[in-house]
Amino acid sequence: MSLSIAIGSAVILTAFVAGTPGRLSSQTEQGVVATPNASQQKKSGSQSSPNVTGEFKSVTIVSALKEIARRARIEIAINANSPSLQNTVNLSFVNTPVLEAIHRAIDNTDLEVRTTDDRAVYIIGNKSSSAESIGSSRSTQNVYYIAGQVTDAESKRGVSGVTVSVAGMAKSATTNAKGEFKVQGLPSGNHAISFRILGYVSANRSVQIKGKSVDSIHVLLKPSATSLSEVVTTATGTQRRIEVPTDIVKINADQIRERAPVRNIVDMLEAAQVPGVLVTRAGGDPGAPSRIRIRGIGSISQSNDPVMILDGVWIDASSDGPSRLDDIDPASIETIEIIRGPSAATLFGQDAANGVIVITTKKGSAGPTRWTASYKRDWGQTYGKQPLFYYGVGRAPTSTTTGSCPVVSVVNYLCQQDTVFVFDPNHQLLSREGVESNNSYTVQMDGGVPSVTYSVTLSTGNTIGIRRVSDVDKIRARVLGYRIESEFATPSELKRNNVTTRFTFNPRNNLSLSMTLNGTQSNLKDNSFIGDWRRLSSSLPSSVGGIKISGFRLDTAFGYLGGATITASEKPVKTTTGIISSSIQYTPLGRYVINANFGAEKVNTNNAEFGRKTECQVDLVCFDTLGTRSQKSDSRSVYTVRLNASTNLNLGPVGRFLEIRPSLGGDYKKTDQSTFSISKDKIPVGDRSINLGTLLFSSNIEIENAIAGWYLNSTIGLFKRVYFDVGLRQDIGSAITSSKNAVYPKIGGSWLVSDESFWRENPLINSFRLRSAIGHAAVQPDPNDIHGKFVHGVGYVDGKFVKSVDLSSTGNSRLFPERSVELELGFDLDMLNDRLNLVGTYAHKNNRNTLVVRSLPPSFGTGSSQRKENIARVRNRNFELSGTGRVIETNNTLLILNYALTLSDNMVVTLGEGVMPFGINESRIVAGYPLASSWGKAVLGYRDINGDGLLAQSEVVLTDSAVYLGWSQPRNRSSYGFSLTMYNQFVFDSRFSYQSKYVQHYSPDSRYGSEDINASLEEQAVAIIPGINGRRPISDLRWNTASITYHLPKNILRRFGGRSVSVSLQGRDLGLWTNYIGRDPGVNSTLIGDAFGDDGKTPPRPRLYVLDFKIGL
Amino acid sequence: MKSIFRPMALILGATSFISACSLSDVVDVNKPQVGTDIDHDYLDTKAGALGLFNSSLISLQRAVSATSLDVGLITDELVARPYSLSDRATDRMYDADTRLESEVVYGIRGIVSQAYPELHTTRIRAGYARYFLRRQADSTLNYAISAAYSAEGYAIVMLAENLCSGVPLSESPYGEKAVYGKALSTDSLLSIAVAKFDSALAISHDSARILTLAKIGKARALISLGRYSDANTAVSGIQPTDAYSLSYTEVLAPNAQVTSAFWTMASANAQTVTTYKRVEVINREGVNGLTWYSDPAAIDPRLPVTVTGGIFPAIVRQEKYVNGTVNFKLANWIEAKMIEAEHLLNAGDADWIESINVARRTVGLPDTTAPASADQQVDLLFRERAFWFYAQGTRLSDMRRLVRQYGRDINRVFPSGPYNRHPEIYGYGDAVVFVPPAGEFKDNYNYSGCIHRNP
Repeated sequence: MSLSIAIGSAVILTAFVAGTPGRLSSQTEQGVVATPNASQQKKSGSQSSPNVTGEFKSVTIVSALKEIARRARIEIAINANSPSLQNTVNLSFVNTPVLEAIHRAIDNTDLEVRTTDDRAVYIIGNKSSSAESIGSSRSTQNVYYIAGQVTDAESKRGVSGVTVSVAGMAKSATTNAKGEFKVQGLPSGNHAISFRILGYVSANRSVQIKGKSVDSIHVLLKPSATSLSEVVTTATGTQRRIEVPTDIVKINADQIRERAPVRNIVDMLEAAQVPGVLVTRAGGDPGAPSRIRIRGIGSISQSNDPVMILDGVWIDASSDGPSRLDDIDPASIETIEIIRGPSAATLFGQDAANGVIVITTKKGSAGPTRWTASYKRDWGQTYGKQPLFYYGVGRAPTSTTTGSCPVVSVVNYLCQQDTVFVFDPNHQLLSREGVESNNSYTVQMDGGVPSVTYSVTLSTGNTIGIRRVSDVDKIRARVLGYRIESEFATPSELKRNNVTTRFTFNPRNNLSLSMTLNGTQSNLKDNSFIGDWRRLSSSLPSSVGGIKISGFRLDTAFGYLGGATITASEKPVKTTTGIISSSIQYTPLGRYVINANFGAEKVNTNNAEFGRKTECQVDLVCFDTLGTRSQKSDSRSVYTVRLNASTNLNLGPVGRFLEIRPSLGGDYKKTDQSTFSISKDKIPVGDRSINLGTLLFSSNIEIENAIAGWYLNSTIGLFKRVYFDVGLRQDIGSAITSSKNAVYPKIGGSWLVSDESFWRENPLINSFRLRSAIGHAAVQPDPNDIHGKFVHGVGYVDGKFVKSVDLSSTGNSRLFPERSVELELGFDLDMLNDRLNLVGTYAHKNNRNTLVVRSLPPSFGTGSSQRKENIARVRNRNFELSGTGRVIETNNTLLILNYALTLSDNMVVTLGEGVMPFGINESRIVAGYPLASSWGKAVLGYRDINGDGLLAQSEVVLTDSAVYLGWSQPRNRSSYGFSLTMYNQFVFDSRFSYQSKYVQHYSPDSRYGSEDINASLEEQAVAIIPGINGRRPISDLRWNTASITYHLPKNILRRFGGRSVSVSLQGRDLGLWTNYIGRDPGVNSTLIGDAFGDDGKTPPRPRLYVLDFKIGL
Repeated sequence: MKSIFRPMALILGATSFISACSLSDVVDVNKPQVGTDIDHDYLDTKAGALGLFNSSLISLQRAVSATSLDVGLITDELVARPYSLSDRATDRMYDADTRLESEVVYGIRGIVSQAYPELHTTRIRAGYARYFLRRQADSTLNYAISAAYSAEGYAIVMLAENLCSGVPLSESPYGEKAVYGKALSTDSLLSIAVAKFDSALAISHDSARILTLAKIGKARALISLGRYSDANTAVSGIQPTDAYSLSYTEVLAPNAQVTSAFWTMASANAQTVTTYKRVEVINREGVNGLTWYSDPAAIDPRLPVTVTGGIFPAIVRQEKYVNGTVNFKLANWIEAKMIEAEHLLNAGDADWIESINVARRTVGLPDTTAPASADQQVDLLFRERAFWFYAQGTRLSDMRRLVRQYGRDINRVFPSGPYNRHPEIYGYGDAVVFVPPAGEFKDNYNYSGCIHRNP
């Protein structure tokens, strides 16, 4: 404990301050900020400035100060020779902040209080001397002041850093940590006082001084829609948004969950409707993979997946199967931050070129255990009708046996058509789709003491997909005596159990440890049990020849049960995922911050597939064919080590002039993958074991890859309104030799224009920030791309068999990572008293040296092999705009409108010298056109030359070569939403989205024009060239989500001690209006890579209705 | 200011330390990819290097056999016959432009799709083998390094002999930048091949068979360059017992490439079809072809044939390759004697005929006498070569040399006139060389085609 009072001259002060070097601050002029230093906090056991309680009657000011110092356990130095010190005062304090107590003690004297820079010592001095020390020309006659406190209107907590300024005078102050302020040197009269800080709606007050200071001003600031002061996560730690020159989107997970049906993180990203982020689904089955693209696709042969980081550690986010993102319970998530583009992601290391998604789990807060339990019940049904299924039946000229007889066979005189069957897959008997259902339970608890907090989230859910065995197949199987096993009763199902815990330890004031444990176990079932409709009709007797059957009739169908084929396959996928993440934050010496993250993710997946076919003859004699069986066990691990050290340097008056935050960091990521695959056929009838049958192939592949890098970064702030962010990173990976070390620089600037002196305050624009950044990032090639591939062989040389080592594919030792360079320009605008917030960003991203898989000419001597080369250049341009407006804001009503717009442009600028356009089928890579664009021959015309009423291939005129049809990703996307809150109890929310200028392939089983000889020539022409019709530019308007939520009022909650109770009815995919001829253009079954899409006849995501009940205690 | 400099100094110090450290060590992994593929570390062992060497020889085998068949078909050595009656019914047109008779009948087995890439594979694999053999610093492996040079040389010689002038030699050395080859003239290719053989000969080892391989290969290249004297010098010292053979087998082994074009020429499958053969011997193909047999009772031992009846007047089956097990003499004393004879003939030395007869005696053939005229002498020399090296992939080169080096009329050397299969409809075309396959044009941006297609 330390207690010192020094009275007297400057000599006395010098003697005292010698042990606590300090410099008089200018805070006196601008207001008072005085808090005890760290050591005092530690001694007092308090995080905030100490308070004083006591009553002083008829004591001198010196005595009062001495007693205040004693009781508050602080140090006060008096550097004054004022007779006022001997004045007697009467004071009474009840838990009064020490600074306020001191002020009251010296009130109406010529004394004032100042602090040292480190706020270790409160110094009492003469006003005249302090004015002199800071060069003020303040008149000694203006001795009045105004003081008070600024608090958050919602949390009621003090707001620090608020600029309190007096209109027309160069008088201002900044609030301290408790929101307190004091502006001195004001004359009597009326004063217009403004209170401004980023993140809050500015407030104005009129204060009248009548010969006496005013010290009871209390101002409530409402949070504004703009959150430039919000803290976001960057590679170097957390930073205020104003300091970051790029637009980082932060999603509050609970807010999304309240307004939209969310089963996983991908749902959450989709519901958030973040500009520049495109989520594509592989289908409507539970566990179906999804693909996330941020600001387009830039890589031709490498992954375009963004990097995923959970509580500081990398997690596997590849999209080649059920997404690992689905393994993380959305209820356990606090926030998701989306860092778009290399300009923001440079420091996250290689592969961050495609953006970074930072997931932060919930952190408990100290206090008694808080319980939250929720139950969700979903119902879903697909929308959009499947097209009719046509099937032409006829006989060969010399045969009486009926069989398939499409138009093309008639054209070639191979058969004579008798009948065209028309099946309606939407008919209840034929439909293979039912009702999706989901039950999920979540229990959360958090609490703890200041030194240890915890958060635990447990959840379990079971989703039964929409696919069903059709009634026809059920009946047919029953007639055939074939038992449909339980595995096929609900062919598509996902069961998932999840636990997420996060513990935080604060053993010391400057040390914080955090540990996250996440475990998921899921069982996915993707079975199918399908009978063949064609076989159903092919057994029709010839007597029905010439009769067309429209629709499907039960009596017709079951009159011909013979000739059935039933194909059954089981695909169980069992996945176990574990994530452990440890974070340490240590702040030695007060101004240094050291962050460390260690962690690992382990994913074990077991895929199995068992197929079997049952053939039934016309006489109903059925036999099982031999089965097939394959199994794949995949184990992946991702290990993370990340270190970062930073410090804050403030130059000038309390850091207002120059702030520097240099950081130095490094990270290491290692991935291990082990895959064992085995495939067998001829599994005996009745068996399923992988031990039986004939081995087709087996393989065991292990892959290791590691990336390490270090970076240097500095944020430089000028006058608290201009910030520069400069950094560079150097990386190396297992795939890249040391000679290919690459440095990735970045630089950016953020300028709060509205805080400049030339900016005139106006009600239209409240705050305006301009930002710009340019940065580099990379995507690295795979190890085998570089080293080539050699395999063992055996050959006959010199009369004997010898082992050989054969070059299988030529690697390319000159490969280096693709380099992405992105320029980002943007603005943040708060308007109309912060009721309208606009964020606009233009991003221009170039993928230089893009890796292209290039076919090698035969003169390379590696057969038809390929290799990658850094030769292409791909350009992405994005304009993103998001707006939020509080249209109605009263005590009982709040209506918020949301808008987001993304305009995208993508082009392969060049493919490199001599590289011909390439691609698979309709998806081609052509210079001058977008990546993964759709191509195909177009129908120029047709003519029935021979007049037989049928079109042959030769009678349809196509373009000589494939022509560009469109891009597989929508160029324009916009979303619209509103949220209406009434009486703080009812919340209505709904979101819509519109996408346009893209193509999607739709390929139905069988078209009218290809099966019916009476189809129009136009229908026949389209059927001859399948896919053309389905690949026209499309657009769609989708009603994404709607919800109505009721929150129980607080007064009722208090009666039973509850914290919150809410009931929410939510809907998803409630409507779709599109010119797409398939069911849902948002479904793309081709998710591996970025090839042009095909909905693959996959059922779309069902229209979903969710009842969500939540209670918090 | 001290408060600024201290942390900055710390950061700069740490930065310097990290920069000084080698991050490469951190990211080294044990298993970049292990499974069916070979760990690259294995390549840098003696076993790995020999495995690569074996691979280059196996590739050379395949290249030689494919070339032998294709050259046989484009020249007068072999003719393709429809395999079945249905093939005959839908008989296709002879490719009059490129004379790719093999393409007509065998589709993918033509030189453009098999021999051409295989010849390149041979030289590329030989290059890899040399690289890793040298890294072992083991003199006992010198024979292999020498043989790898020769394998590379032979591949280049065969490309020069059989393809148009203007063949690219792309390069992809291990760990080095790949080079997309530009069209090289025939003479340039041959000169490169000579250099490869010189490198082979410069390496010290005691293997006579590998020395023979390099000597004959060099002489073969020099002969095509018209440098007869140098060629003769190159083969000096080769003994009658010296030979380098490629061995082929029909015995199946795991992952072994046991089938070859020789198997195709004489496969059991083909021979069980007694009426029609895939390939047959035909006398005087396209008027200019050689008379390979005249009397069944006087068959040349260098080209045993069997003659049977059928729809055609005669079906002649070569019996040089009776099955897939073949001991193919790529380089031997006989070839040395033929080179010697050609040199002497061009030098005006009457002893050239003795070189011919010395060789003939080894198979019991009677001595022959030198014809009077120079043209006849050349005819005799090339007939001897044709019989000695029947279906060994040298006939096209010899026919081209007859035009290029001996001034013969192209229409008097190559098959011409009505095509043997449908003489009433088709005729032989003008092209006398193979051209690189379409993939070379499509994927090699440095290549735009042959310099010329002259012999």
